[in-house]
Amino acid sequence: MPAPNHNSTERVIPFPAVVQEGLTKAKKNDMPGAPGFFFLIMGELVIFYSFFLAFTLERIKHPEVYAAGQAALNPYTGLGLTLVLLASSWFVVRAVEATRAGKIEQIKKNLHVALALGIMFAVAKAVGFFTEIAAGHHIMADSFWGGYWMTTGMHFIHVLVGIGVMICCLYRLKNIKADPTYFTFIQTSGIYWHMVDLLWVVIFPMFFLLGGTS
Amino acid sequence: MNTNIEAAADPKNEFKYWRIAAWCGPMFMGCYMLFWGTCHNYPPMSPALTAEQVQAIFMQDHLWFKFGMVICMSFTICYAVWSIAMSKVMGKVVGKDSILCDMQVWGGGLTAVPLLVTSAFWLSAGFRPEMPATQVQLLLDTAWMLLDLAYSTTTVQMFAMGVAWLSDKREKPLVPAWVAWYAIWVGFAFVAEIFMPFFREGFFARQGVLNFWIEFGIWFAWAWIVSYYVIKAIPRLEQEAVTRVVRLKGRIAKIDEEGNLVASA
Amino acid sequence: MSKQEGLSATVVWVALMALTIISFLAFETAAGKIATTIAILIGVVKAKAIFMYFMETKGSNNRYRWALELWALATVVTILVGYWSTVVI
Repeated sequence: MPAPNHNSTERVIPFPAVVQEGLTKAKKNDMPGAPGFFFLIMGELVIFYSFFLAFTLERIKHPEVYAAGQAALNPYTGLGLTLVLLASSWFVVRAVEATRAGKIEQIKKNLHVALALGIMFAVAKAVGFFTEIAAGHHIMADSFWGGYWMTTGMHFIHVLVGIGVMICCLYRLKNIKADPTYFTFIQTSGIYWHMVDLLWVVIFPMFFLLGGTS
Repeated sequence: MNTNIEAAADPKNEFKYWRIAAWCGPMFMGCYMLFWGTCHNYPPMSPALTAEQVQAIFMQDHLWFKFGMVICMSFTICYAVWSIAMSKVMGKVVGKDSILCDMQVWGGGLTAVPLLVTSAFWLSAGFRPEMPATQVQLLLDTAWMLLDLAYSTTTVQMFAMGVAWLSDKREKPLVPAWVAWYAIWVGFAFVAEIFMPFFREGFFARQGVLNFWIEFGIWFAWAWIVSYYVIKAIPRLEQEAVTRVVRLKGRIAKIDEEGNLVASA
Repeated sequence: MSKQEGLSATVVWVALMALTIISFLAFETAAGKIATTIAILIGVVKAKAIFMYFMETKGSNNRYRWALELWALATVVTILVGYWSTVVI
């Protein structure tokens, strides 16, 4: 059990042995998170890779359609979304680190900020979707928009699931002192959220920045 | 000795039926692998084809196609029976009264429905050569809309199964954690099918790399993998079945794993 | 958690934000081919940083870790080869 840090402004609540046991068990896994969870992560990455491949192959067939589609996207929006999601991911990292350290208030604060940023991303993306539909850039408009909607639509669904998972982390936090699995749960949830972020850092340049200014 | 009670108390009879039911899964998969393709489903007919082209394809090898569809429809029930076997084994992990077992069974049973109905549509599409081509195409399209968009029934089955296997507290789980996550992954990945109706060609159409080859492929592989582990788990469960023989005042009694007295002699 | 580990995650995050802005600036100012190549390469470097540092796989040496590396390589090669094949040299 870590000793209380009297110099810190935050009161460190020592973990009871049952929770510490959960942390110890987590360290024995060869990959972080729940055992076998990376199978799901790799599966999702493979599916999104297939989207990237589809985008690339279709772009080779119709480069002018893709150039026009990309020109209709606002790169500042893409930049903003990327920075928000990266920040959200960082706060999740901090929440996981706070769990290791036993700082329950820190876990809560970091999760709240991560969640708020995640919701901000989702709302901004949803507004973007409506704007694009209003401009006639719907899923059946052409090959570029079909691929865009498919990729960012699936990503959006993953964001919504991630938001739900973060809410679960906050909910389960109430019982953390009696929950030996909390660390694994928040670490696994964090890994999922980082996957969502990881996908977006590839999606952003692929859709928004391909081609540059000629 | 009351042989009926003895037989009822003997777990080996029950596990024999579990084994048969679990093997229905591979039987279903094998049958569909061989015969479902006879409906020109490897890959599915493109939505970009004209009605006349679709009808011409249906009329090719139509005897073999009808035979294939009949076999598929006859063996579809194996999927539902297999789902019941899955729930029985799941019950040993999460308890037989767990809602997860019910969700899995319902999901599996409801998955069998679109499989049956779509085969019936295709059979009808190839039944009368004199049918207008547009009607043939309508039957084809309707079948695919049903098959792909009923994904949620299978998703529920796979989520329930995945969550159940992850709850296994055994030192060596009946089904490895990665298979449980695989089930959850595939159940989630099926959501991509919601985009299928918006595409007539390319990657995301019903015959495309994603919505056919990847989605169906990963589900198919999962069914084989989970069948392997569940069939392997049944002998383990037989060993685990607790039958305690106690002596009660000189009599021998049997108590099942739930602590109920089931036989005495 | 040691202060060392905490600093590492923050440094990685600041680097990710900076790389994002750099790739955007390249898009705004550089010629198409160069900007695109920089942006995609930076994107994949960021993806790698996320899975190594945020997902904490840096110390792992198993099939999942190598699958992630392979994924990053396949992604960058696919997108760049696809892009360059449409560019008239």
